[in-house]
Amino acid sequence: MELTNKELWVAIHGMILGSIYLLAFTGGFTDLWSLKSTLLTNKGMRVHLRRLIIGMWIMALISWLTVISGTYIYTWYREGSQLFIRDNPKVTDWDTFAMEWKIHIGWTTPILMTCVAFVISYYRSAMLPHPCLRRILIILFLIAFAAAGVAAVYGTFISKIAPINLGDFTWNSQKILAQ
Amino acid sequence: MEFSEDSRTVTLGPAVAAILSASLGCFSLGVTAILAEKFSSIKILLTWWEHSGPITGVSGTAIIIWLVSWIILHLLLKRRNPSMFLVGLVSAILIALSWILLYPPVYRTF
Repeated sequence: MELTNKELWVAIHGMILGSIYLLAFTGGFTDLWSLKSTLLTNKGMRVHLRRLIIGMWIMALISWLTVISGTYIYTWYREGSQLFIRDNPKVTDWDTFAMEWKIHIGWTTPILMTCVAFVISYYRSAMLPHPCLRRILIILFLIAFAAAGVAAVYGTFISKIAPINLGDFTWNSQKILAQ
Repeated sequence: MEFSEDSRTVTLGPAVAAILSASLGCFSLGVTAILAEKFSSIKILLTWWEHSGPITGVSGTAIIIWLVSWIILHLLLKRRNPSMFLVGLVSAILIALSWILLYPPVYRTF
Protein backbone atom coordinates (compact mmCIF):
# COMPACT_ATOMS: atom_id res chain seq x y z
CA MET A 1 0.00 0.00 0.00
CA GLU A 2 1.49 3.28 -1.10
CA LEU A 3 0.51 6.69 -2.45
CA THR A 4 1.22 7.28 -6.12
CA ASN A 5 2.47 10.65 -7.31
CA LYS A 6 -1.07 11.62 -8.35
CA GLU A 7 -2.58 10.56 -5.03
CA LEU A 8 0.11 12.46 -3.16
CA TRP A 9 -0.81 15.66 -5.00
CA VAL A 10 -4.49 15.06 -4.36
CA ALA A 11 -3.64 14.76 -0.67
CA ILE A 12 -1.54 17.96 -0.74
CA HIS A 13 -4.21 19.91 -2.67
CA GLY A 14 -7.29 18.82 -0.75
CA MET A 15 -6.39 17.06 2.47
CA ILE A 16 -3.46 19.26 3.53
CA LEU A 17 -3.80 22.75 1.98
CA GLY A 18 -7.59 22.77 1.67
CA SER A 19 -8.16 21.31 5.11
CA ILE A 20 -5.74 23.71 6.82
CA TYR A 21 -7.55 26.66 5.20
CA LEU A 22 -10.99 25.43 6.28
CA LEU A 23 -9.77 24.62 9.81
CA ALA A 24 -8.12 28.05 10.15
CA PHE A 25 -11.37 29.78 9.26
CA THR A 26 -12.92 29.62 12.74
CA GLY A 27 -9.85 31.15 14.38
CA GLY A 28 -9.62 33.89 11.76
CA PHE A 29 -13.32 34.67 11.98
CA THR A 30 -13.26 34.87 15.79
CA ASP A 31 -10.23 37.18 15.78
CA LEU A 32 -11.70 39.41 13.09
CA TRP A 33 -15.09 39.55 14.82
CA SER A 34 -13.57 40.49 18.17
CA LEU A 35 -11.30 43.20 16.76
CA LYS A 36 -12.95 45.92 18.82
CA SER A 37 -11.23 48.44 21.06
CA THR A 38 -13.90 47.95 23.72
CA LEU A 39 -13.05 44.26 24.09
CA LEU A 40 -9.27 44.42 24.37
CA THR A 41 -6.58 46.10 26.44
CA ASN A 42 -3.66 47.83 24.73
CA LYS A 43 -1.41 44.82 25.26
CA GLY A 44 -4.19 42.44 24.27
CA MET A 45 -4.80 44.41 21.08
CA ARG A 46 -1.13 44.19 20.11
CA VAL A 47 -1.07 40.40 20.55
CA HIS A 48 -4.48 40.06 18.89
CA LEU A 49 -3.46 42.09 15.83
CA ARG A 50 -0.16 40.27 15.40
CA ARG A 51 -1.93 36.89 15.50
CA LEU A 52 -4.65 38.13 13.14
CA ILE A 53 -2.22 39.52 10.57
CA ILE A 54 -0.03 36.39 10.57
CA GLY A 55 -3.10 34.16 10.41
CA MET A 56 -4.70 36.06 7.54
CA TRP A 57 -1.52 36.04 5.44
CA ILE A 58 -1.05 32.31 6.08
CA MET A 59 -4.66 31.69 5.00
CA ALA A 60 -4.14 33.85 1.90
CA LEU A 61 -0.94 31.97 1.03
CA ILE A 62 -2.57 28.59 1.56
CA SER A 63 -5.54 29.56 -0.62
CA TRP A 64 -3.15 30.63 -3.41
CA LEU A 65 -1.23 27.35 -3.16
CA THR A 66 -4.50 25.40 -3.21
CA VAL A 67 -5.87 26.99 -6.39
CA ILE A 68 -2.49 26.94 -8.15
CA SER A 69 -1.93 23.27 -7.31
CA GLY A 70 -5.51 22.51 -8.34
CA THR A 71 -5.21 24.30 -11.67
CA TYR A 72 -1.64 23.60 -12.75
CA ILE A 73 -0.71 20.30 -11.06
CA TYR A 74 -4.01 18.50 -10.57
CA THR A 75 -4.38 18.12 -14.35
CA TRP A 76 -4.65 14.32 -14.37
CA TYR A 77 -8.37 14.77 -13.78
CA ARG A 78 -8.77 15.68 -17.46
CA GLU A 79 -6.89 12.54 -18.53
CA GLY A 80 -8.85 9.89 -16.68
CA SER A 81 -11.55 10.83 -14.21
CA GLN A 82 -13.20 13.39 -16.49
CA LEU A 83 -13.40 10.88 -19.36
CA PHE A 84 -15.02 8.35 -17.05
CA ILE A 85 -17.57 10.88 -15.75
CA ARG A 86 -18.46 12.24 -19.20
CA ASP A 87 -18.78 8.72 -20.52
CA ASN A 88 -21.50 7.90 -18.01
CA PRO A 89 -24.74 9.91 -18.18
CA LYS A 90 -25.68 9.00 -14.60
CA VAL A 91 -22.76 11.01 -13.24
CA THR A 92 -22.08 13.59 -15.98
CA ASP A 93 -23.33 16.46 -13.79
CA TRP A 94 -20.36 15.91 -11.49
CA ASP A 95 -18.18 17.23 -14.30
CA THR A 96 -20.41 19.67 -16.17
CA PHE A 97 -21.82 21.24 -13.01
CA ALA A 98 -19.78 20.39 -9.91
CA MET A 99 -16.26 20.49 -11.35
CA GLU A 100 -17.01 23.55 -13.50
CA TRP A 101 -18.36 25.49 -10.52
CA LYS A 102 -15.58 24.33 -8.23
CA ILE A 103 -12.67 25.31 -10.48
CA HIS A 104 -14.09 28.76 -11.18
CA ILE A 105 -15.49 29.81 -7.80
CA GLY A 106 -12.36 28.57 -6.01
CA TRP A 107 -10.28 31.31 -7.62
CA THR A 108 -12.26 34.03 -5.81
CA THR A 109 -10.96 32.82 -2.44
CA PRO A 110 -7.27 33.86 -2.75
CA ILE A 111 -8.23 37.22 -4.28
CA LEU A 112 -10.59 38.06 -1.40
CA MET A 113 -8.25 36.65 1.26
CA THR A 114 -5.33 38.74 -0.04
CA CYS A 115 -7.57 41.82 0.12
CA VAL A 116 -8.58 41.10 3.73
CA ALA A 117 -4.99 40.36 4.82
CA PHE A 118 -3.69 43.53 3.13
CA VAL A 119 -6.27 45.86 4.68
CA ILE A 120 -5.71 44.50 8.21
CA SER A 121 -1.91 44.70 7.81
CA TYR A 122 -2.08 48.22 6.35
CA TYR A 123 -4.40 49.74 8.95
CA ARG A 124 -3.78 47.63 12.06
CA SER A 125 -5.50 49.31 15.00
CA ALA A 126 -6.09 52.46 12.93
CA MET A 127 -9.10 50.66 11.44
CA LEU A 128 -10.79 50.45 14.85
CA PRO A 129 -12.59 53.82 14.52
CA HIS A 130 -14.14 52.49 11.29
CA PRO A 131 -16.54 49.66 12.22
CA CYS A 132 -18.03 49.69 8.71
CA LEU A 133 -14.62 48.71 7.30
CA ARG A 134 -14.34 45.82 9.75
CA ARG A 135 -17.85 44.64 8.82
CA ILE A 136 -16.98 44.68 5.10
CA LEU A 137 -13.82 42.66 5.80
CA ILE A 138 -15.85 40.10 7.79
CA ILE A 139 -18.28 39.71 4.88
CA LEU A 140 -15.43 39.31 2.35
CA PHE A 141 -13.81 36.76 4.67
CA LEU A 142 -17.09 34.81 4.88
CA ILE A 143 -17.56 34.89 1.09
CA ALA A 144 -13.99 33.64 0.60
CA PHE A 145 -14.75 30.78 2.99
CA ALA A 146 -18.04 29.96 1.27
CA ALA A 147 -16.26 29.74 -2.10
CA ALA A 148 -13.59 27.48 -0.58
CA GLY A 149 -16.36 25.39 0.99
CA VAL A 150 -18.08 24.87 -2.39
CA ALA A 151 -14.76 23.86 -3.95
CA ALA A 152 -13.88 21.53 -1.08
CA VAL A 153 -17.24 19.78 -0.87
CA TYR A 154 -17.52 19.17 -4.62
CA GLY A 155 -13.87 18.19 -4.85
CA THR A 156 -14.37 15.54 -2.19
CA PHE A 157 -17.45 14.08 -3.90
CA ILE A 158 -15.81 14.08 -7.34
CA SER A 159 -12.79 12.25 -5.92
CA LYS A 160 -15.18 9.66 -4.49
CA ILE A 161 -16.97 9.16 -7.82
CA ALA A 162 -13.90 9.18 -10.04
CA PRO A 163 -10.59 8.88 -8.17
CA ILE A 164 -7.67 10.71 -9.76
CA ASN A 165 -5.81 7.49 -10.58
CA LEU A 166 -8.80 6.05 -12.46
CA GLY A 167 -7.05 6.54 -15.79
CA ASP A 168 -4.28 4.19 -14.64
CA PHE A 169 -6.63 1.24 -14.48
CA THR A 170 -8.75 -0.51 -17.05
CA TRP A 171 -12.41 -0.55 -16.15
CA ASN A 172 -15.72 -1.53 -17.48
CA SER A 173 -17.79 1.54 -16.71
CA GLN A 174 -21.11 -0.04 -17.63
CA LYS A 175 -20.41 -2.95 -15.32
CA ILE A 176 -19.46 -0.61 -12.46
CA LEU A 177 -22.59 1.53 -12.90
CA ALA A 178 -24.83 -1.51 -13.19
CA GLN A 179 -23.73 -2.70 -9.75
CA MET B 1 3.21 48.75 18.06
CA GLU B 2 0.94 49.64 20.94
CA PHE B 3 -2.71 50.24 20.21
CA SER B 4 -2.54 53.60 21.89
CA GLU B 5 0.35 54.61 19.60
CA ASP B 6 -1.48 53.60 16.45
CA SER B 7 -4.23 56.18 16.60
CA ARG B 8 -2.78 57.79 13.45
CA THR B 9 -5.13 59.56 11.09
CA VAL B 10 -5.47 57.48 7.98
CA THR B 11 -7.62 57.82 4.92
CA LEU B 12 -9.83 54.94 3.88
CA GLY B 13 -8.75 55.23 0.23
CA PRO B 14 -6.23 52.33 0.29
CA ALA B 15 -8.81 50.02 1.89
CA VAL B 16 -11.42 51.07 -0.67
CA ALA B 17 -8.95 50.43 -3.52
CA ALA B 18 -8.18 46.94 -2.17
CA ILE B 19 -11.86 46.04 -1.65
CA LEU B 20 -13.12 47.37 -4.98
CA SER B 21 -10.28 45.83 -7.00
CA ALA B 22 -10.79 42.42 -5.33
CA SER B 23 -14.51 42.62 -6.12
CA LEU B 24 -13.69 43.63 -9.70
CA GLY B 25 -11.30 40.67 -9.93
CA CYS B 26 -14.08 38.28 -8.86
CA PHE B 27 -16.51 39.88 -11.31
CA SER B 28 -14.03 39.65 -14.19
CA LEU B 29 -13.62 35.95 -13.38
CA GLY B 30 -17.33 35.51 -14.10
CA VAL B 31 -17.24 37.60 -17.27
CA THR B 32 -14.19 35.83 -18.75
CA ALA B 33 -15.68 32.42 -17.86
CA ILE B 34 -18.81 33.32 -19.83
CA LEU B 35 -16.82 34.67 -22.77
CA ALA B 36 -14.77 31.46 -22.86
CA GLU B 37 -17.96 29.39 -22.79
CA LYS B 38 -19.74 31.47 -25.41
CA PHE B 39 -16.99 32.04 -27.99
CA SER B 40 -14.69 29.22 -29.04
CA SER B 41 -12.11 31.71 -30.29
CA ILE B 42 -11.89 33.28 -26.81
CA LYS B 43 -11.79 29.81 -25.27
CA ILE B 44 -8.73 29.01 -27.38
CA LEU B 45 -7.23 32.40 -26.55
CA LEU B 46 -7.70 31.78 -22.82
CA THR B 47 -6.25 28.27 -22.92
CA TRP B 48 -2.83 29.36 -21.75
CA TRP B 49 -1.86 25.80 -20.84
CA GLU B 50 -3.36 22.92 -22.76
CA HIS B 51 -3.26 20.48 -19.82
CA SER B 52 -5.58 22.63 -17.69
CA GLY B 53 -7.77 24.22 -20.36
CA PRO B 54 -9.33 27.72 -20.39
CA ILE B 55 -9.38 28.06 -16.59
CA THR B 56 -5.70 29.10 -16.86
CA GLY B 57 -6.57 32.14 -18.97
CA VAL B 58 -9.84 32.86 -17.17
CA SER B 59 -8.11 33.00 -13.78
CA GLY B 60 -4.98 34.66 -15.19
CA THR B 61 -6.99 37.44 -16.82
CA ALA B 62 -8.96 38.00 -13.61
CA ILE B 63 -5.71 38.27 -11.62
CA ILE B 64 -4.27 40.79 -14.08
CA ILE B 65 -7.48 42.90 -13.95
CA TRP B 66 -7.50 42.68 -10.15
CA LEU B 67 -3.85 43.76 -9.72
CA VAL B 68 -3.89 46.51 -12.38
CA SER B 69 -7.16 47.95 -11.04
CA TRP B 70 -5.77 47.79 -7.50
CA ILE B 71 -2.72 49.88 -8.47
CA ILE B 72 -4.83 52.41 -10.39
CA LEU B 73 -7.48 52.73 -7.66
CA HIS B 74 -4.81 52.97 -4.96
CA LEU B 75 -3.13 55.87 -6.76
CA LEU B 76 -6.47 57.59 -7.34
CA LEU B 77 -7.95 57.11 -3.89
CA LYS B 78 -5.06 57.00 -1.43
CA ARG B 79 -5.72 60.49 -0.05
CA ARG B 80 -9.50 60.29 -0.19
CA ASN B 81 -12.21 59.05 2.14
CA PRO B 82 -14.96 57.52 -0.02
CA SER B 83 -18.25 56.51 1.55
CA MET B 84 -17.80 53.01 3.00
CA PHE B 85 -21.51 52.33 2.58
CA LEU B 86 -21.25 52.99 -1.15
CA VAL B 87 -18.08 50.92 -1.39
CA GLY B 88 -19.75 48.04 0.45
CA LEU B 89 -22.75 48.27 -1.88
CA VAL B 90 -20.69 48.30 -5.08
CA SER B 91 -18.52 45.48 -3.77
CA ALA B 92 -21.57 43.41 -2.81
CA ILE B 93 -23.10 43.87 -6.27
CA LEU B 94 -19.88 42.89 -8.06
CA ILE B 95 -19.32 39.80 -5.90
CA ALA B 96 -22.97 38.73 -6.12
CA LEU B 97 -22.77 39.06 -9.91
CA SER B 98 -19.58 37.01 -9.95
CA TRP B 99 -21.31 34.20 -8.00
CA ILE B 100 -24.31 34.31 -10.35
CA LEU B 101 -22.16 34.41 -13.50
CA LEU B 102 -19.94 31.56 -12.28
CA TYR B 103 -22.90 29.28 -11.54
CA PRO B 104 -22.68 26.78 -14.44
CA PRO B 105 -26.42 26.70 -15.34
CA VAL B 106 -26.30 30.50 -15.61
CA TYR B 107 -23.16 30.93 -17.69
CA ARG B 108 -24.30 28.23 -20.09
CA THR B 109 -27.47 30.21 -20.87
CA PHE B 110 -25.46 32.99 -22.49
